[in-house]
Amino acid sequence: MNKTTCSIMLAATMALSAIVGYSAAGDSKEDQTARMERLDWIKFQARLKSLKDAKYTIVDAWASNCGPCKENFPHLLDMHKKYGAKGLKVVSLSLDDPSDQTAVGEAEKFLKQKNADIINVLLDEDYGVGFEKLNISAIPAVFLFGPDGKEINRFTMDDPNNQFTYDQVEKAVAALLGAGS
Amino acid sequence: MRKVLMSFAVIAVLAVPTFAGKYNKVVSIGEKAPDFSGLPAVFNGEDTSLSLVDVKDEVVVVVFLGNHCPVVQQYEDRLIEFTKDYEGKGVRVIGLSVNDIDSDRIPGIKSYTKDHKSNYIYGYDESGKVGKAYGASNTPQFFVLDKERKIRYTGAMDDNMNETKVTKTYLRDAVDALLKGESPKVEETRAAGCGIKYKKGD
Repeated sequence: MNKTTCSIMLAATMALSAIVGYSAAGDSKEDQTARMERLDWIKFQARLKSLKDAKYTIVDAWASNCGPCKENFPHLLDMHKKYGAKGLKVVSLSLDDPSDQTAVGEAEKFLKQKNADIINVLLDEDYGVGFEKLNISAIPAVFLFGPDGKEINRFTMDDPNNQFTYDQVEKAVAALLGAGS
Repeated sequence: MRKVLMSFAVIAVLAVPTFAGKYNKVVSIGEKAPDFSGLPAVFNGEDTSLSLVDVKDEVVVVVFLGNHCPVVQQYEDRLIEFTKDYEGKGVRVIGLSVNDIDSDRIPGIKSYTKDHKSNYIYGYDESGKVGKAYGASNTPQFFVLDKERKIRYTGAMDDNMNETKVTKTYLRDAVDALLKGESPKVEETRAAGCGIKYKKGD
């Protein structure tokens, strides 16, 4: 990504932060949001199962070295703000290499920067295994689960003629939970 | 929420076998490879042009790349080594970028190949049409074409992004099989990596 895009993104993020009024830096809640729950595949499934108050759950598969993932992350947080009270749980699932301290540190730094007040998980499996488990070839990818825990929809990059956008994800969520505001 | 567990379990099971067309939404094994011609390209630091019809080698390896992609960078050494190992053996490696991203266009390709001392020809398709015709969804993604330019293998180079943990060398196995006049045992695998950013509006 070029520097222009980066700085535009940064400016946009700062503007967004100002608008939605993110909590000030330094409080303990923010420190917590930076930490990812380190879960292997089985424990991750159990974690999803434990979200009993969720009507719908979206899982966003991302990684700290994935530009498009990070670019779209604010939209994910936005959906959390808009639809959280209506029963949407938002989960970020990092596919960073859990044995790579630099990558994990980058991911946590990013989550902290974004004040990612959602459920943040680091998949504790060998690097690359997450793609197999989720049955995807690329990230970002978003999975939408229904009240019965069934996967309702998946949004992936796997079909070059039909790549997903986060707007599509939000439309699907909005259709299920009603328009936010 | 017990069903969450079940649906994930199903996904995990489905991910194991490798059948033709399992991952690629557009092309199948045995199909004629989509043609491409007149693409701007870089080879040994020089501007050149890339057409599939001009390649006379017995086996062609087309790999979709993106300079910005960390997974591509992670595979670069392996790709250079592969190209070197099969030089003069009737195998031609062709890198292709179809990303609508500044760093992945020709000037970016020029500096990337210079920095990495890449030894394969690396072309760029701005329209993204070539990538879509191959059903390329992410990078790095490999396609092995036989003498008749039929697709005989597609997917990953090997079974682990971490080179020290590789146990299966899919690409080498497929190419070796074709050079021996045999069919590759594994024809399609998942090529995990960065999603391709196609130009919008096509």
